[in-house]
Amino acid sequence: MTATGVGSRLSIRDAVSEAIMHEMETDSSVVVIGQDVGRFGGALGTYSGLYDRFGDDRMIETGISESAVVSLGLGASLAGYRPIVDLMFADFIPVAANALLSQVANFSYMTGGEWTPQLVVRTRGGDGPYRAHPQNLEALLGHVPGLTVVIPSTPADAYDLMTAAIRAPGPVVFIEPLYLLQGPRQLVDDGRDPARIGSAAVVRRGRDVTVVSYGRSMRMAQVAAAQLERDGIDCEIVDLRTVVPLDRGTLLDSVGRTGRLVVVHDAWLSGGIGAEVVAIVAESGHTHLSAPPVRLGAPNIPVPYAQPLRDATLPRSQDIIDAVRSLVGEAR
Amino acid sequence: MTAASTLQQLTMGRCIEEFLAAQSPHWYPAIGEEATLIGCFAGLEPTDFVAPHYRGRLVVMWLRGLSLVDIFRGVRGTTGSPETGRLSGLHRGSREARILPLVTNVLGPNVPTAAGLALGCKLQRGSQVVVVSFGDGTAGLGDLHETLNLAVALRLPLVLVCQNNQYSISTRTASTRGPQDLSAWARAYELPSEQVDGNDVESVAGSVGEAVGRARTGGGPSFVDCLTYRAAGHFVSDRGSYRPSEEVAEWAARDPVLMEARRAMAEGSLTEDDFRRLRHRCRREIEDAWEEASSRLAAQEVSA
Repeated sequence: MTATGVGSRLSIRDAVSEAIMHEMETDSSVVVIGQDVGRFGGALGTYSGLYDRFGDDRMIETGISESAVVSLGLGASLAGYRPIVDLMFADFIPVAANALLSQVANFSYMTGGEWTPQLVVRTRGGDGPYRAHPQNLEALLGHVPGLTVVIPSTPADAYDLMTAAIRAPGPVVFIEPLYLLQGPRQLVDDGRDPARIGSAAVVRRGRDVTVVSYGRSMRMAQVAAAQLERDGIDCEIVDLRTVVPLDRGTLLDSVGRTGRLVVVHDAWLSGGIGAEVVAIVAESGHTHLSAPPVRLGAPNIPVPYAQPLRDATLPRSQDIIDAVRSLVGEAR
Repeated sequence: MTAASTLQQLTMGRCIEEFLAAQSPHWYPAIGEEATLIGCFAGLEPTDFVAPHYRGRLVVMWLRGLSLVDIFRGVRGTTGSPETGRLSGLHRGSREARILPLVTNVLGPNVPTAAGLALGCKLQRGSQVVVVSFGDGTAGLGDLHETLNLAVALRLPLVLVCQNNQYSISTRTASTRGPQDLSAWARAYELPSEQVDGNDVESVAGSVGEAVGRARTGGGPSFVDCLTYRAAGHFVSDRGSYRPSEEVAEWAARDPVLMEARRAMAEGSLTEDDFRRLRHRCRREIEDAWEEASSRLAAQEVSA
């Protein structure tokens, strides 16, 4: 299948908004629910132009009431709609935890598929230019069966994955990295192989080491790979794109080729997505490993504010370079 | 709703709860709260959605047309129900009968979820409404307060009913409330709200019926506080010793099923004998259905 696109260069923010606009035009059951999604055009312009096109019947404004609003979206989905509930920032996920973890996640399984909510919870978070709302809570969502969690790192993926999330047969939490939201633009045009939910991407082929990442730290991984190439070390980079469920096949294939694994994310290391990646490789791909895997992530402290403190907690490209060098060096 | 059919519904509700209470010391009986259940849920259209509280849900399922065999199969966890044993028979729902399931044991989020169903009804521009009920304990959660606010702001076709049996396990909820009058809580959110005698089925049906009519014609949400009484413990083996015996006796004298039977007898439309036969018929129907649901269980065990 090939995807259609808008034929212009878009940021992640605008790609997601374009995908939503396209789905709303073709499917009248798609509605947006949340704070500031009306005339204001969404926090950080994430729904720019949608209110003018669809009005307040389909851009449904609510106040600060995240828990009830996620449940409201759930109920609307059970009545036949396909709501996108906007949580504004990922920091607010815990406010809606009961709705997400006890209700939305359970519905399909507990009713034997009789009621399957088709609901997207769209939010954005992590370190970014505004430095506010820096939480990375994807592992918390991933622990509970029933939720799909998507974190794109490129505009084309963001477009494809939002389209797929709206059409998905179950609930999807869609998290946009604030750092990349208005970052490099990319041509989102026709004919590409569209990103699918549950499928990771090998975005750089390499033979020496597999660097697995997602979201903001994908940038650090790419910077590190470019630097390491100059030293003659060839990194393969896997962008998970969907952090729950993980694409085991792509992970194991890549580690099978390179024999070395570095996982890097901005979220806390302990109990994180990286731990799950390492566990998959330990259980099913350890015979290919020529060195112990390395995890890079935030230490177990709350996310600090001051730039030097924040920088000291988030994995830098230099941390990835050091980890790769030590892995390759160990093997040699 | 004729007086005779209302009494039949009340009697069946009582017999279902008594029968299940006799089956398990862990059952959460709704004995004493039947007038609230029947008054709220009997007068709706099949296309309306209902989101009943956990206590008394089986009675609502029966009112919405599920067969007793099907209901009991859910209670016994046998195959054949859509949840295939994943969800307890008390918490299950039904898409066909438009009953919202309780997919978690956490009370609260079902209230805004019901509001979401109401949002769906409103967007479809149909005339369906949603009736959601919850206990006086649940009323203290943010979920209810956020829903009251959203329902008014979005003018949702939603009727919120507090099945106010006055106890949250052993806690007398009034003793843990600041502002005492629950219907006044709702009035503060600027929606029509009243307290009714939850043991008088006519009062409940009247108030809820008015609220449903308002919701159906674009008048937005309403709140009804049905003051009733949990005649038994939180669960069967809870003796309820924390309650003053005078209070228990006072409410027993206002038994909702007997009150309706006495009314019919006073009108001359029912004799003692009729009432005895009605109770007997209900019990027989329940026992037969339980036996059938159980025989399926036995068959399942043999084949498993």
